[in-house]
Amino acid sequence: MEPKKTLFVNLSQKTAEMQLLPELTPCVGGVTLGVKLYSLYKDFDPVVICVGPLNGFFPFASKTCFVVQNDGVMEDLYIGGGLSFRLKFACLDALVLAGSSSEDVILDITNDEVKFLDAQTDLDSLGLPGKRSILHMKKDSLLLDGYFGFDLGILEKKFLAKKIFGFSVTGTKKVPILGSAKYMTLFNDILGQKELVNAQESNCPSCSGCPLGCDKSQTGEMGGNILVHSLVACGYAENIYSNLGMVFACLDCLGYKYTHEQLEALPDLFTKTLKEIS
Amino acid sequence: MPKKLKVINQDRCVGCEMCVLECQQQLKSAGLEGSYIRILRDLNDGAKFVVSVDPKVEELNIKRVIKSCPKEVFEEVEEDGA
Repeated sequence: MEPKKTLFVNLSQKTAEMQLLPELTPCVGGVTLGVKLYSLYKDFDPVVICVGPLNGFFPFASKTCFVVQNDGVMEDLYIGGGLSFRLKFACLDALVLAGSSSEDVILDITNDEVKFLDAQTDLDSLGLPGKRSILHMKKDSLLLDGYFGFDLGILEKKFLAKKIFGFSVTGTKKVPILGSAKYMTLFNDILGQKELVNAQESNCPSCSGCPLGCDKSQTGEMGGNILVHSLVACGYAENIYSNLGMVFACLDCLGYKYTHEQLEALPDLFTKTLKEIS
Repeated sequence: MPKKLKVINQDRCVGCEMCVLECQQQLKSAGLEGSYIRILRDLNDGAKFVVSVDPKVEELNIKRVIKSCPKEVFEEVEEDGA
């Protein structure tokens, strides 16, 4: 398996570098990867943003994970919208926002390139339409793609402290699908299980990769099933993505050679990493 | 008569990008780059979307693209628009 790709952004020094850390491979993605990255960079009090291996490929794998420390407590938050697709197709597994900027800043991220821009920059002018996702501070609230947000103010506090006024993420990479017959079978199987999703179909803005358009998408999620949140699937699709056999098959057909034992060990890995942090 | 994919209910689009996934699957890839359909989000009103369709979408199985949309945004029409 390829090592996880982390884009490490040092806000204090205004630098960015791609990191390939082999020790992150067992983390799979999402919350498990997020806490591991936090533990590695805790001196920077980072905001860690992660996707999982199924984002961009399978239905209901539609969220993006944020890991931060809030008043001494590790928090994992999940937001909908289109950010997971953009990070995935920037070929990033994680984005680490470390340190603090000396002045208000906007980040313009295209794949693994980062530009540090003045806070007055028009966010709408950044990135490529259709391939970008924009998170920005509006009246002290963070809003993704003009609609999706968080309820609790935790991230807002972090972004204000780091002087991040917003960011745009554009993903322009194309990934070939190998073994597409097996992939399509699994894709359609999962799509056919939408009645298992604990959300009602509606006409609200939807998260990328979810056809439901439910009214729960606007506010994010917090905490929950470690396997589901390592995949960064929607928490309301837990009935689908807590099925280890299904998850194993999905990962296998995308070329991720995790064993059942590794997947079963994710909650322990998560707990162990939390202990390391504390 | 050749068939064409037409956006008939843009206001129903919820931005799920299932049509983008379908287009890319037919091209045996994943990603936003090179998709024959793009969903453009309005930053000032995140509940509004513009569906941008490349005419090359007609190289694909249009019926499957139409079926991929949960909100019946698309319709198949004759080349002359009928």
